[in-house]
Amino acid sequence: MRNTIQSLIFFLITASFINAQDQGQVSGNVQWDAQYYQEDTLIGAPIVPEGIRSTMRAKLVFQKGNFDAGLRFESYQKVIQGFDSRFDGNAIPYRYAHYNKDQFDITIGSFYEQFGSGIILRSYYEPTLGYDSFLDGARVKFSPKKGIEFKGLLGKQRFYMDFAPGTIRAFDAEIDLKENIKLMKEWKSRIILGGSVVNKYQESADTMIPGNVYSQALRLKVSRGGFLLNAEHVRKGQDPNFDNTFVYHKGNASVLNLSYYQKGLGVFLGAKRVDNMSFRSGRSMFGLDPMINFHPALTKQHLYALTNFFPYATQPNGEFAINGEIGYKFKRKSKLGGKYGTKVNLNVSIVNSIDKEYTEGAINSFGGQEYESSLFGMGDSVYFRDYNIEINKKFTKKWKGKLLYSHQDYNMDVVQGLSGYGIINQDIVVLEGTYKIKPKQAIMLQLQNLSTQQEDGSWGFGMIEYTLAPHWFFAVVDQWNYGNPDVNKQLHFLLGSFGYSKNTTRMQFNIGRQRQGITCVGGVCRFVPASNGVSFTLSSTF
Amino acid sequence: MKKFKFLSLIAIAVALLSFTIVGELNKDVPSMDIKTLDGSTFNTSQLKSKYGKPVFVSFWAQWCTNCIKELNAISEVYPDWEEETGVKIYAISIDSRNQEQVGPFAAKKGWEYEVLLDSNSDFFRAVGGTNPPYSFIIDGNGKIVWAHTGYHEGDEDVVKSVLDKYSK
Repeated sequence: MRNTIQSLIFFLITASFINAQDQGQVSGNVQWDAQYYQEDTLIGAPIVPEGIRSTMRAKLVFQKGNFDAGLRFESYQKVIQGFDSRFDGNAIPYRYAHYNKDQFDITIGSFYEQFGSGIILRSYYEPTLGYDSFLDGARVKFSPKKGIEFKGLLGKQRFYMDFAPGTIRAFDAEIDLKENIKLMKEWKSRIILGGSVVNKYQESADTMIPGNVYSQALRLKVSRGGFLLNAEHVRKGQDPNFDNTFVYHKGNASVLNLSYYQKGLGVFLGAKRVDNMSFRSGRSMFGLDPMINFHPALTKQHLYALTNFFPYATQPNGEFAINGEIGYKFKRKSKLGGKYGTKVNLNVSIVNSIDKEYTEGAINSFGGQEYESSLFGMGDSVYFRDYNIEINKKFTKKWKGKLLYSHQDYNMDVVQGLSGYGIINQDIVVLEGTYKIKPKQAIMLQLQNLSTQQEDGSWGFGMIEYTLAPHWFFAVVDQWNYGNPDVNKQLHFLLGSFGYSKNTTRMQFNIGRQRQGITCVGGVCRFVPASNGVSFTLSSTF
Repeated sequence: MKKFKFLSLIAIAVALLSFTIVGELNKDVPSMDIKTLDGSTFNTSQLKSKYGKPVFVSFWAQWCTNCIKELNAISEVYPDWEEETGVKIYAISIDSRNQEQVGPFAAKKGWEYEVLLDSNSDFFRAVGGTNPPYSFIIDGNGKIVWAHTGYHEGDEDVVKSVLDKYSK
């Protein structure tokens, strides 16, 4: 991807400069993941020719005063299964130098950035997904006074071990009116206004495909005591690309979130509508290829294997999502709270298509059809629903428990890009109990059940975890497809784990079967293939 | 043979990394701007307690089960810790989505920490975080003196013992 020698020389010169000026500070981290694979035809785990695959990332940072510089070395020998095979070989893809003093903050090299909620621009790093969309170029932030900030950047996005073809230029401004308008300083409310412009240029041999694509956003945040309102509207110009089947329909997105909180009570109501907002550095990119922007999912963040069995992935081409949540802690020693208090949470998510009126005859060679859509209209197609109730309670000094019920309706055709599967309806129950044997020893039992008549039928899950603070944990997990209509496929996925951690170093081994599935972070998902073997993770910060 | 090679590699890595299992640190806190719950700017140089007392900073997210367990466990003893050590606790959310849900989430759990937003994980990366839970302690001189990753039931006692040391 880049010349490793050049990067090392750049870094060493910078480090020497810092060290020549008296002490600097060296810090960093390292993460190593390795997996040994065995064929397991029953679960669809294939032969892996290498036998062992390994990914390592090591970050080093020099810092002195207002100056810091860093790099990240990556080694893929080969990349762990389930991650894109274009992560390959050894390289130092990420390196930067950064200086900030008084009103200026300047970065050259690689950097991450987010404007507002990220729907117009967000470059970020999520290694569990194999997602890294840093920008490589330069960024300047200028803050003339408190509560006013301007940002300008230009660069190319990372594309696996190379760069994406498009060049990004972007500008963002934000002003906190309470800090800067005399009249508002005495107000209890705070109002923050922001605006962004992002441009992507990618050369186009076809005069019908625009080389420049512009996107603009406005955002407003109002807060007063425990009340918060966040509104954002984004527009994108004509951007025919692989994701939208090369239509010329302009994109837009709107977000409106309201929340209220006080001690013991949290309430949230959010709505988001997206129309043709897939925005990438290369018009032929798709899937987990890096995006310029980010689409936060507005569904509940599920934490358990079976509540995440069919996880919802955001649909940048179009979705209308609504989410409402209320959580309350019944006080200690109250009738419903009991001796230690009881926490109850209710959450409902609704995701539908957007309204689209297709233009007759306007179908292109990619199968894309032009359409009209209203600014705030909802379509009839159900993409996802879930209804959840969760209760957390501490019974005694030694015992605490959790009970969760979730009903989910998941449109498998839309979310996974398939056809013929329809909507999968599921009911999931999670029951968890933790017993503190001694102050530093605890044992947890977790049972889950997913009931469905569709796909592979119902599943059960059981986990026993023993922890010995502060260093050790041991766990045994089994997932059992007891409801599979084919008796020969009512398989167990048994997995043992143990780990050791001390301060900022952590090691973990997993031994056994991993079922095929999908893992998501923030509405962005990655397919996980079935595997059988041993996996190892080591991470440390210094 | 492959299994043996694999295990050998692991053993070498563990041996090498054992040198990094350090007890005490003495690192500067990176100075950068993150956000408060109402969207205003908060510079990390402000991560301070009163009168030179220690600060405990914990990175968490709504999807991080062990982060929530750690912060729930500490919330039960936070008033006692404040009284005994003068500690101030900051809970910094690295949730990338629905930052407007962070305040209600912390409130319904009954947490009394100062909650901040690091939605693109800039500060998390700057202090060397890899996977949450990741927490560290700043002493009265503004130096990071201790950090840990992960959480087991009872780890809060280890945190308390470190706070006791740096509250004198």
